[in-house]
Amino acid sequence: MRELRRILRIALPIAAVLIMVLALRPAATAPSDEQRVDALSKTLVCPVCRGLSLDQSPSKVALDGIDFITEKIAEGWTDDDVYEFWASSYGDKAILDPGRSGIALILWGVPTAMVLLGGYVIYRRRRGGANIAVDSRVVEQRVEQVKADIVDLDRQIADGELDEETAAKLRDVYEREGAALAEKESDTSSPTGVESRIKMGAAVIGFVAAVIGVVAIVGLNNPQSNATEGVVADVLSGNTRNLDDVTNEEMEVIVANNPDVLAMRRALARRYFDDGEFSKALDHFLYILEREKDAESLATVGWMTFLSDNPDTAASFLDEALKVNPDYLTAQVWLALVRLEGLNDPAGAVPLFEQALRAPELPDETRTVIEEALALARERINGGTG
Amino acid sequence: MSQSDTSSESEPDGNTEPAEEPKQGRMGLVVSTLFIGAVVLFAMFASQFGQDKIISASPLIGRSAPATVLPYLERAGELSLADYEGDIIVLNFWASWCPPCRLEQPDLVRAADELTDLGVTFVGVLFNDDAGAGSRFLDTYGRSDRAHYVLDDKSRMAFDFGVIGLPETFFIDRNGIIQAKISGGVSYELLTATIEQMILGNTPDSVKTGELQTRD
Repeated sequence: MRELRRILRIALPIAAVLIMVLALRPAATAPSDEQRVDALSKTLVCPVCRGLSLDQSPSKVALDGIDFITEKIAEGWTDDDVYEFWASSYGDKAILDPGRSGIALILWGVPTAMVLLGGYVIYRRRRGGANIAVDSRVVEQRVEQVKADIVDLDRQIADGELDEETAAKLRDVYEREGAALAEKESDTSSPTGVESRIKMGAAVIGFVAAVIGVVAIVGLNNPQSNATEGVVADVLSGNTRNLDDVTNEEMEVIVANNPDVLAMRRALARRYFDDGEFSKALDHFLYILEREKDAESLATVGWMTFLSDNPDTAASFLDEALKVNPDYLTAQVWLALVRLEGLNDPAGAVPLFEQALRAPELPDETRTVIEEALALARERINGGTG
Repeated sequence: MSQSDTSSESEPDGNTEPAEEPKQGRMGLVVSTLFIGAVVLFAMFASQFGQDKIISASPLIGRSAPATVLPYLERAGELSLADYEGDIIVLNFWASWCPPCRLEQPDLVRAADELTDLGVTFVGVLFNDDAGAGSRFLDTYGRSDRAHYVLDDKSRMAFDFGVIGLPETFFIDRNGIIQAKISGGVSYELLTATIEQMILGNTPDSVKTGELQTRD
């Protein structure tokens, strides 16, 4: 009976592993492309027809799917390539055949790992038991030896072969060794050694199973990490276009995250300009102009250049702006003012002021300012020589 | 009954057979192994409960967008998603037979008109439908001059993106990574909020707004 149990202990894990290896074995013969397409279309779920495989569904999408497989097989894809593609698009559940990836791999792997670990634990336990038995025999032999030595010592004392002092030292040595061996003997004969090994084995299995469990659960749930809600996101809770409540610092973050969204950078540059922070505004406008020559950036850089006492360069920027957009009212007025005040060219300013005044829907305040500037230009023309 | 049945733990009296002790431990090992295995398997299957058979967050979220090329719906030429790298791409799958697609179309048009300047490219993919019906749909429900409309005649882009019904809208970031999917119709507010998160460099949530439509 014990023998039978021993055989089963070894044979069962091996049989279990063999069964799994056989289940995982590749097909024995290579099928034709047509057979492969046929088999694949039976195992891939039609994505828009619930529960049906591609070959079961009459829908156009299912036929497209079969065409897709045919094309990919012709291109040299393996069956696994096709499975992998389908699973990567639709998940493992879109494959009717139990696959060998993702969750399926875990399902195959857990029992295999358990059987292997179980076998390992049994092996360790048996080997550990044998070691204990060997240790125990050695200790027993030593104990017997010590006992024999003490008997021999007594005999030697009785025969007067040893003086009392030497005999006492030897007895002390033998008794200490005997005590140490007795302690060791109790260790090896105690079942706690075996139990600790079993507990260790269970702990190993528990640990590995727990790791697999955690990995499986974490992997399956794959929680979408929540979006990092920064202060910018809090502020921008309503409408993307409504950036009024966002501070310049927050806008800098947004612009840094989206360096090539020029509209956003232009909005920030415009803010700096409106706030009189010209050097910051200039940085952003020049960044924009390196990528795109738009009228607003050209004109604003031109006007800031004029305010830095460089009217010639200012005029050329404003000229460029009006080439891009001749109807750009701000550029018209700015260029007129540059000509009037910076270049001492009131004659050049007049037609620009006149053009600006023809702009439809001109606010009254703006109209008044332009009319005053136009009057000043005309006055200078008239009294220019004086 | 007999004493030996009840005294296995406390009887190191020398008469008990030594094999009896490990037997207890072995049984414990088997039971604990089976228990742990059962817990793990239960957890694995339990985590699947409550999820639609196929509908779940797209496995493509977080991956690079496939570099699919499709012909334009209403003009010559082809659109390649790769050409818009650096933009946020809003990829909307629709069809003329899909009722939620009709409802969301004006919002998509408005969003495309307003947000393209922020470096956002809108692509409408006509899926499982014919070009004529698609154009009539746009005549009726609106088209944006700033959006691109393409025809997925062989469902290749739909396979690439794992489309399982309509409408579905994918959001691809400036690095070409698929960041989110909206299953069901979209509103202007949801579109802008999602795009806003991407502009801010955050990962927007993937949401399901309604039942997906399939063609009989």
